Formats: sequence, C-alpha cells, structure tokens
Amino acid sequence: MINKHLSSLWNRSFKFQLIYGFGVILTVLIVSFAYINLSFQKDFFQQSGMKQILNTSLSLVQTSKVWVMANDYVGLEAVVNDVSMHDDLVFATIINPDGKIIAHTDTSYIGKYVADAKRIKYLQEHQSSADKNDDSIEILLHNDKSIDIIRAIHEADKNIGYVNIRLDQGLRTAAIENTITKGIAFTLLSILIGISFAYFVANGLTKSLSSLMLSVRRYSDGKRDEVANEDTVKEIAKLASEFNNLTNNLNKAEELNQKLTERLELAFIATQDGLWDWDIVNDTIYYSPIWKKMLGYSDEDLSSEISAWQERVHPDDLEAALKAIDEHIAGKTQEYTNIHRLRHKDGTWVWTLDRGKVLYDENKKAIRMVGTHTDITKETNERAAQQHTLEHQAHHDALTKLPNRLLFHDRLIQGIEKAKRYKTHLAVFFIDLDRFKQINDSLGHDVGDKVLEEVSDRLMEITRQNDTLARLGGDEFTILMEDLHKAQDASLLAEKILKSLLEPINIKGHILYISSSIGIALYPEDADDAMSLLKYADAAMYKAKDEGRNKFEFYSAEMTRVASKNLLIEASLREALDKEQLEVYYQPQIDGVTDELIGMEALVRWNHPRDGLVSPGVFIPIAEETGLIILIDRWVMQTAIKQVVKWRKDGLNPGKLALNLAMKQLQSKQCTQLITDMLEDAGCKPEWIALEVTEGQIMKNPEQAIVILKEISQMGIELAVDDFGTGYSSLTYLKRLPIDKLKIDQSFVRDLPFDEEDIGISRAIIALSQALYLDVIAEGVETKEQRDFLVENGCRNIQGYFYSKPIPALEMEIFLKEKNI
Amino acid sequence: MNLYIMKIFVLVLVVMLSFGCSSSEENSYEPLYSNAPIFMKNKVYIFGVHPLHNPNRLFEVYQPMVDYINARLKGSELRLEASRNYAAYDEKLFSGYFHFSLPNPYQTVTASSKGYKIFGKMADDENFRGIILVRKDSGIEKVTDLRGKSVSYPAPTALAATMMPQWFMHEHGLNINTDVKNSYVGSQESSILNVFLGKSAAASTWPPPWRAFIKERPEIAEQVEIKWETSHLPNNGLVVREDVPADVVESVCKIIFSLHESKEGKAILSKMELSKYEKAEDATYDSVRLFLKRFEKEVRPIRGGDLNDK
Repeated sequence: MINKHLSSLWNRSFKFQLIYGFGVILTVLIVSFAYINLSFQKDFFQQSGMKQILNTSLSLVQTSKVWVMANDYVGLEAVVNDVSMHDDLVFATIINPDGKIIAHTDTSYIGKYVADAKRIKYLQEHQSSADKNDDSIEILLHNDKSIDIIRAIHEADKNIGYVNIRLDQGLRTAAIENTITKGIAFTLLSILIGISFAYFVANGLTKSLSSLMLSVRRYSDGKRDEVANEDTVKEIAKLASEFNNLTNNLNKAEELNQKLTERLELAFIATQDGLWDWDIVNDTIYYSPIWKKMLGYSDEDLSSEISAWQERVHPDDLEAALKAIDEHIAGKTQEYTNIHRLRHKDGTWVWTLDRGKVLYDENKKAIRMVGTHTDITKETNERAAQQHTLEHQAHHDALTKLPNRLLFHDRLIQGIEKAKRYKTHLAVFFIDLDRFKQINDSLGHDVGDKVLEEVSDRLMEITRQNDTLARLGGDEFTILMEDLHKAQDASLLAEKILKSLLEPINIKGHILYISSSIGIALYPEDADDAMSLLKYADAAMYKAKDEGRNKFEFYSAEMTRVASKNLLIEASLREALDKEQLEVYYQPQIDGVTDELIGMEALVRWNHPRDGLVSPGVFIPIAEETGLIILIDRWVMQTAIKQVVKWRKDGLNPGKLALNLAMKQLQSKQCTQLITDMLEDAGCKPEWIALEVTEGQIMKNPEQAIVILKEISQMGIELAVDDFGTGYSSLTYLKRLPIDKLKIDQSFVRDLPFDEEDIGISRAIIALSQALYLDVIAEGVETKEQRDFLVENGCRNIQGYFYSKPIPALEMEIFLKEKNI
Repeated sequence: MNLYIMKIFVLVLVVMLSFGCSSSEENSYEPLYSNAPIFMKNKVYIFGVHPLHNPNRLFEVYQPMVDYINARLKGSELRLEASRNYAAYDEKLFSGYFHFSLPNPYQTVTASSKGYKIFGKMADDENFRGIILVRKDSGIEKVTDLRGKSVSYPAPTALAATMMPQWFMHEHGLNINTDVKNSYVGSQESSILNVFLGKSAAASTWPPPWRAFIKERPEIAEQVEIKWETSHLPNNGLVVREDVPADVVESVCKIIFSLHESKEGKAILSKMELSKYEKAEDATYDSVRLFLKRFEKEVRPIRGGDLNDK
C-alpha cells in the first residue's frame, strides 16, 4: 500500500525525486560515515582499556612471582600497592591455587577465599598444569563500566598463583557516549541542511520548468509567436533558448516547405514530367495527374496500382524495364534509368525516359522508390536505335563479336570492384596463339580470320556463362574468370583451353595445327588493379611461350623482378653491342700427347665501361632468356670467323675455330642461311669451324634440333655437343644426332683424378664417344694430373688453364706465331 | 505529508545508529569472597625448602620432586614454598608453619626441638664439608701461613662454608678472632673472587658452589686451588611436623627414599647434585649438635647473628 503510494509519488514529481533522492543519498552517506567513525572510536577506547589491563596484569605477574613462590604476604602487598596508583584500578588481587587471597589492594580481603562461580571455575580449570605458551588470560567481565581479567602466574610448569585485576571503564564509556551524542547531532543537522537545500533547488527548478511547459503548450496550440522566458537557472534557460530556436526554425521551415511545394508543382507543370511514388512495403503507387495526362487519361481514369504502368509498357521493353528496376533495387546501379514505350489511350506508343531512385531503411531494405516519366517520343524515335548500334560497335570486336579491349577493361574494373566487395578472387587469362603469324603470312588473312573465328567459338564453348571472353586484337584473347575459389579452377580452365586449341582446324580444306600459350594473373594475389593484372597475365604468357609454348603459366612476382632486371641488362647489352664493349677471346685446344694446337674456342667477354669485365656466367643466361644471345652469338661468330680468316691469310694455323650456337639460333628458320652467308662474306671454309651446341638445349626440343643440325652438318661444319653429361641425354637421340664430337663438361674434370664419381663419369663419356665413333675433348683442365689422367684414358684433346686461359686476339696471334715456329 | 514521511525515515536511522553504538554485552559480575575455602580436592601439606637457591631456581630444582611425590600420593599433596631469606624461612619453620621442610643441619637440629621430627636427610655427607681456596701463586703452604692475613667467607652463620673452615683453621693453630682478618662478603662467588683478586689470602666455601664456579669461570678457577678440606658433617635434613598423620609421612618416606631407583627420580636428584635421600633420626644429627657446642665454646658465639648460609 505504502509502496504503491510512494511509487506513484516518485513517478509523478521531479521535485519529489530530487528531494528524496538527495535526502536518501545524503542520509546514507552521513550515517555510514558517522557509524564507521563512531565504531572506530569506540573500538579504540575499548582496545586501549584492554591493552592497559593486560599490561598492568603482566607486570603484576612478573613482580609478584617470587613473592608467590615464597608465599610472602609482605612482598606481595608491596607489589600490589605499586599497581593501585592507577586511577581507574578498581582492585588488584593475587590468589593462590587454593583460591585464597594472598594479596589485595583492599587488605581486608587477604586470607579470604574466592567464592564466585567465575573465578572458581577458572581456578579449577587452570589448576593442574600450566601452558608455557599461554598466560591463561580470561576476561571475566568486559562492559561499558568495567573490565576484569584473571591470568596465571606459572613457574616450573606449574600455576603457582593467579593475578586478578579490575579496571573502571567509566571514563572511557563517558568519552564514547559524548562522541556518539555529538555524532548524532551532527548527522541530524547535516541531513536537515542537505534536505532543505534540495527542497529549495527543486522548488526553483519546477517553477522554471512549469513556465517552460506552458510556453510549449501555447506553441503547440498554434501560438506561433510564443517566446519562452529565458531569465532563470542556466540549464533551464538553455532549454528555453533551445525551445525558442526550435520554434524559430520550425516557423522558417514551414515557410520554406510551402515555397518548395509550390516550386515543385510549377516545375512539373513546366516540364510536363509525370511523377510516380512507389511504396514498396505496401505495394501501392502514386501517379501525378501529369503522369496520367501524358498517357491521355484524367486523374480519375487510372487506378493507383503498379499494373496501371505495367500493363501499358511495350511488351518488348517490359523485361528490360523490370530488370533495370530490380537491379537498381538490388543496389547494382546508382540510378534507375530506362527508356521504354508506354501505350497511349489512343493506342500510339509514347517513348518515355523513366528515371528514379530507391530509398532504403536502416536495414538496407528497399522501402520506397520515386521517379519521373519524361515524354521523349520525339527525340527517341530517330536516335535511340542508332545509338544502340554505335554503342555495341564501340564495345565489340567486329570479327568475332566478342567484347573488345575497351569493354573487357570495363568488365575487369567492375569485376575487381565486385570481388573487392564480396571478397572473392578472379583470374585474368592472356591467350596468345603460337605461330599464328605464320598462318597469316602463308595462307592469307582470310584463313587467319577464319582461324580466329574458330578459336573464338571454341573458347566460347569452354568458358562459363559469366566469364568474359574478349579479343584484344590480333591473335590475343583474354578471359576474365570471376568468382574464383582457388587457383586450381584457373588451371583447369587453362588446361581445357590448351587441349581444345590443339584440335586440328579445318579451313577451306587446309588442316591447320595450332597451339596456344596462356598467362594467368590472379586478383588479389598478384595485383588489385586492371592494368597490372593484364600486364602480369601478359608477362606470364611470354614466360609460357619462352618455356616452349603450348602451356600455361601463373604470374609470379619473380617474373617482374627478373623482367625488370633483364630489361636493364638487355638495354646494357644492346648498348654494349653498339659500342663494341664486347670482345672475343680465344682459348686454345691442345693435343695432350703432342702439345700441338688443334684449334680454339671463341668466347665472348663483356668489358663494361663502369663495372669492368662482366662474367659470362652473369650475362649469358640473361642474354639467352631475353633472346639477345642471338645477336651476341652472331656478332661473335662474325668477328671470330673474320679473325680466323685473317690469321690464315697471314699464314698462321689457328686450327678449328669452335663457336657456340644458341638454341634460339637453331629455332630460327634462317639459321643455316645465315651461317652460309656469314662464311661466304668472310671467305671462310666450313671445315675451318666447328659449332658447339649445349646438350641441354638440344634436349629441349630434340626433334627440331636433329633437323637443323643435319642441315648444318651437311654444309661440312663440324658439330660438337657442349657440356656433355649435364643434360640427361637420351642415347637414342644421341645416336640420331649428326654430331662429330663430345665435350666433357668441366664439372667432371675439376676433381680428377681424385673423385671416384668423376673418374667414373669421364671414363664413361670417353667410352661412349669411342663406341659411337665420336671425337672427344675435355674442357676446364687446370693441372698436369688432370691432363695425364684424361690422356691415359683416351681423351687427348685438352682445353683449359693448364695450357692457356682465354686470351684476346692479339695475344693469340703471338701464341700462334710461337707455335708455328 | 512529505515531511512527515521524511521525519519517520530519519528517526529510524537515528535509532539504528544508536543501537549500533551501544551494542556492548550487558553482562555483570561481582567478585565474591568467603572465609573458608570453597573448593579443595586434597589436603595440602606445605613443603618449605631452606633458601639454598633464589626462589626461581629453587622452584626449578625442587618443583619436579614435589610433582613426582604428588603424582604418587593419594588424597593429599605437597605444595612447595620458597622464602625470601633465611630469617623468613626460620620464622616459618620455627613457628611451625611448614608441614614438611628441608632445613640445613643447623636448622634441622633446632627444628627437632620445635615440634618437628627428623625422618630423613640428603645422602652424600662427604659433600657437606668446607674447603679453603688460595691462589696457586700465593706461596701459602701451612695454615699458619695465613696468620696476619685476610680470609673471605660468604656469611658468619654458614655451617659448611664458614663455620667448618673456621673450626679447621682453629684446630690447625690459628686464633680466628685475632690471627686473621675475617671478611664476610655475602655470597659464595664473592668469597671465591676475593681470593682471585688478591683481596684475601684465602677463601672459604663448600663443594657445590665451587663446582658451579669452575663450570662458569674456568679461566679464573684455573688460577685458584683447593688448599684444604675440612672433615664432613651430616647433610641437610628432612623434618616433618609432629601432627602430620603417620600414614602420610610413611607414604612420603617411601617415595622420597626410592627416588634414586627410577630413571625419572635420578633425573630429579641430578639437578640437586645428590645421589639419593636416606633415612635419618634424631641421633643422626648428634655430631652436628656436638660441633655447634664446641664451636661456640672454642671459636666464637653463633647466636646473636642469623644462622643463614652454610
């Protein structure tokens, strides 16, 4: 009942809350503080009393002990008198084990016996023995008036007597009571002052609030010029001021709103745009009178339903229009725009430009869509169709009808955006047909175009519906693969493509075989922008081509690094070729038995103006990768051939000139022609030179190598297999190769004649050469032991530092002259 | 109305506050006394030992024996009591306050004429003798070498430590009253230190304190030697007031004379530097009576001063 009453009071009045809230908190705080403080003081007083009695009794125990042992009444009287000087001592007595008083501050008690239950009980309990660790202290009485304790005097494990002391607590109690009285008075006073203060504050507040409330009511009743009184306490004054600002703003907004509405109405009348407002939640729609008029109806003629619009849309346009709306609602477009035809009441078609915007609630749910219909019949009739065609042309490849570079780039950008948003991956394929140029060159562009169409069809078949297949130009195709879950999916597609394009193509009776090289770059692993992805896919494609075509490669960061480094070195090397920083050195090849010169190997040295002599180990592999090796080899061949011819003309015998031939050269169609031209230009006989091809390079594509090497061999040029033993030769191929000589790789020579394995390998190579009737030469021979071992085992042709390091032409000339003498 | 509720609230708090502060237990107790003992299990017999140690040491040494006896007595118990000095002891003994007592031989003899019966004594009579110490470098060979010199004693009435050595010197040709300067220095240790410091030519004491001194100050004892030993007299006696029931006395006798037969008893005796207690009777102390008589007659009067230490 009271609870209910209090609760209703509490909820009704702010004033009540303030006074009672303040009062209760204040009361609790002050009472708690006072209680803690008083308890503390009380404890302190009581503890001080206890402390004093313990100290006094202990000193009495100590001073009286010897007299108790001697049962000496006179001595005991003296020690008891010593403690009687304490003001608050009521009595002190010493009792013997029989309960007999042997000393007492009131001497009349001496000789009497204790007769109260408490002490008798204590004495009986502590009679038998004494606990050394305990003074057997017992508090007989402890209240506000007195404190009375008894404790044992013990000696030789025996309680020989007891000290009993009583102190008057009166003074202490009085002090405590005084403190409590003052404490309560202070507490009451504080609470009273606090609550009075709260009362006044609350009264002032509620008065100001009532005044403000009145103003609000008046304003809401329509008194628009109501001004709240701001002459009150700061916070409420602020509130009143905010209220005044609010009414000002509301008044202004009301005016503005009216103007806007008028303006909008005028605008629609002027443009004759129809307005529609679709409540998606309730699926109702508002059409403005102008909208209806546009179709020849009056305001009452058409219902406010979606069907009013939908039924009048041209059947050919409806699907696109609905799709555009759906896409906009789904958030795929920034703005809904669609051009469609609406049926006029008179049966004609009205071209309308429909534009609108959707509104979402806080849960991203579409709740409303508003837009306009503009009659564009005049403008559209001629232009719309035209534009559509143009747009399509701009974005598609005329030959294959596939998206062109422009559209692909656009789709790629959109794809990346989507992948970013949905945290998915995508892959960009760069597909290049191998040797397409040859088809074009040999069979004409007509056939080439047919091939491209066929390739386009095949790729279309393989790719998924939502992948974008594009032709960038020439024989370059790209695929944008979206929603990629793992890189493996891209591999699968790449394999499918390779397989599909390997199928022969039949065009006008020509059976054509093509293959393709594919580079793949992944988002977001490799790059997160369209340009880079395309560039990286392109780079990976080149890698695939470089690795022998008809394969695919994923882009790797290493490719970029290597590519940029290669670019640098390539540029540097080109410069070196131009500026003749390259130089040909010659290393003699000697008959290890007779020590006669049998020939020399031409080796290139790069004398870099800044870096000095660059090791061939550094630049040759890069030159091979970049294809620059072709130029370098040609230059070396030309230079060395000229030099040899010159020496021979001078009457010197340089023996056979061994030249390195890069595989890249072999792949070139004009290779044999080139060599023939070179020899003819210099006036060099084919039997004067030998070409060295590394085993590894031959084995990369042995079939092709066999064809070309046969041509060279037929020219009468000696062929040697360089670095023999390092390239996993197949003996079958070795037998079919038109070669004359094997060159034992220096890695097997280095540890001769100590390493068992190398001994075995070099012996085996020599044995192999003998079995196939081939000549054999060892390179990298540095010591006499190595030379001797090789000669003893049947390899007498020796090249290496043991005889001479590679030397410039001038030095070689001197060497030759010495040999000739 | 609001104020009314508030007042009630405040009142409740104040009441709570005052309760909190005056919550001490409201108990009461006043001591009561009677003229007769209210509780007493056993008949208590007071056992007074003469002040041969200070009270603390006395309790340390003799309380175990009293406990041992009490553990074996039925219906009665002994209570050990010390005394502040010989005067206090003598007063209690000769006024018949103690039921049992352990007086020195002189007091034993006196007590036998004041209502006490001699029933036993400490054994080891050979310890109850006087010894005379000199510095090892003093050059004193004969008792007569002490003539004209100073001799230190603990107290004039100590039987073993003073009177017996004086009798010894008397018998060896010195007139105690004229030939030497008697210096009563108050304690056994003081007497020994006097001769070490050269303040006296000889020091008079008896075996137990000398043995203790050797243990405590071996470096000093090293420079002092026992020059002469007196003959011995019966050791401290055990007396009982004549009104103590015969069966109690008999029980106490039985326990105390068989102390040395148990391990526990032996430990108690060793604290007293004693081998055992033994039976004695009035005639056992005739030799003491004779010594005192001759000493008074031939050396000096005893009565007049307190008969204090040995």
